[in-house]
Amino acid sequence: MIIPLIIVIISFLLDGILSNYLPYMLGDLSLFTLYFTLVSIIIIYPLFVKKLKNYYILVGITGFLYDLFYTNLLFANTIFFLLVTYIISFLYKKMALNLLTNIFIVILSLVIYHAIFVLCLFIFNVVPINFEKFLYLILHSIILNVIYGEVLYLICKYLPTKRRLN
Amino acid sequence: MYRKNKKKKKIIIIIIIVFCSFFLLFYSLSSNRKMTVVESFFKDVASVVMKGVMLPFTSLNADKDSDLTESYVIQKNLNVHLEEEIEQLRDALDLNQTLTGYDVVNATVINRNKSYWYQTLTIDKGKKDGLKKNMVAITKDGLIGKIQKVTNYSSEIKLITANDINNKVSVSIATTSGETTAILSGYDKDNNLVLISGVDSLVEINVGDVVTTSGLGGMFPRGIYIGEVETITNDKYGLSKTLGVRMNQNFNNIHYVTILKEETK
Repeated sequence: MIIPLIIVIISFLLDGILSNYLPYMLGDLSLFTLYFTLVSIIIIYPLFVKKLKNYYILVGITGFLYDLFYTNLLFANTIFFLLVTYIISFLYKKMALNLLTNIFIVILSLVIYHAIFVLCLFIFNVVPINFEKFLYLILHSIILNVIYGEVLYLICKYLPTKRRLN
Repeated sequence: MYRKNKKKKKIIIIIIIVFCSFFLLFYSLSSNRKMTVVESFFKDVASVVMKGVMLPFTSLNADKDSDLTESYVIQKNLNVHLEEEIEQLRDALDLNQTLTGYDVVNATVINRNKSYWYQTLTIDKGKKDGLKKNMVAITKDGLIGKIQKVTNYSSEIKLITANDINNKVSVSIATTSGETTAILSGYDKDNNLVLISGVDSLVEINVGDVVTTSGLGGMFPRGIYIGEVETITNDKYGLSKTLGVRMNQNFNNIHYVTILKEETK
C-alpha cells in the first residue's frame, strides 16, 4: 500500500515540476505533454486488485489534488480519473500483463481520458473543439507517458507486493 | 423479487452518480465560477506546497534578478522627468486614475495550468500582497495576461494566448499614418502569433508595425508592448484585415512576472 502511494506522490510532483520546466528545456517542441499522475494510477492497478475500494479512494483523492494543484477545475479530473480507471480495470481483467500490453493500456487510457475531456468541453461549450484538436492532444502526449509507463511497470514488477489481475 | 429490487436500486444509484457528475463538471468547467472560501484555503495550501517543491528549481534560475530589473525598467518606462510631468498634470486636472499610474509587484511562477485551453500560470503572490482580480501581468518582453483568480497567498494569471472567447485585449497599432486601435482576440498556436481581427482594410498597416495596449476598456494600461505585425491577411470580401503579431515573449519560459497594480495614494 505504501509503495504505490509513493509512486503516485512522486509522479504527481514530477507532473508539476516537469510541466514547468520541460517546455523551457525543449523549446517549442510540444510533443511531450505530461500525464504522469494518470499513468501512475493506471499502472498501480494490479497492486490493488483485492483492495479495489482503497484503489478508487486513492484515485479520487489524487484526481481532487490534481485539480487543486494543477488545473483549477474542481472535481473535473476527479471524475475523469475515476472513469478512466474504471474502464481500464475491465481491460486489465482480459489481458496478460507484459511490456507490450502495458504500452497498449497506457495509450488507451490517454485516449479515453482525452475523449472524455473533449466530450465535456464540447457538451458544456467551454471552447471550440474539433477532431483535429483531439488527435493533436493524443499524439502529443503519447511518447513520454508511454516511456514513463514502461518504467513504472518495471518498478512494479519487481516490487514485493503481489500483482494480480483477477 | 429481492434481485429485482437490487437491480432497481443499482440503476437509481448509477443515475444519481451520472447526474451528480454532470452537475460537478458543469460547475467546475464554467469559466466565471467564483472561488469558495474552502477552495481558496486549499489553493493556498497547494500553492505553499508547490512553492516549497519548486524552490530548488527556482533558486537555480540564474537570470532571476536581471529579469526582474529589466522588467521593471523596460515596462514601467521610468523616466523621472516624465513621471514628474504626469504627476503635475494629474494634480492640475485632479484626475484620480490615469492609464499610467501603476505600482509593480514582482512574483515567481510556481505552477502552470495543465489544461490545454486554460493557459494559466500560478504565482506566489496574492491578496496579502495587494493583488486583485483583473490586474495586469507583464514581463520584460511585454504583456502576458491578467489575474483571473486570487487567494491569500497565490494568484492565477490567464495568458493572452488562452483559447477563450472572453479573452480580448484592446490594442493600438502604430502605423506610418498614425495610431489605429483594434481588438486582440485570438492565438495561432501553429505559428505562435497572436491575432488581431477586424482591422479596417483602408488603414495602411505594414509588417513590423508595433502593437501595444491601447488603454481603452479600462482593463489594461496604455502602452504595454505586445509585439510586431508579422502577417497581414484580408478577408474574402476585402472589408477587414487580420493581423498576426509576433511576440518577443516565449510563453514556454515564464518564471518571473510583474503585476501592475493601481498606485496607492
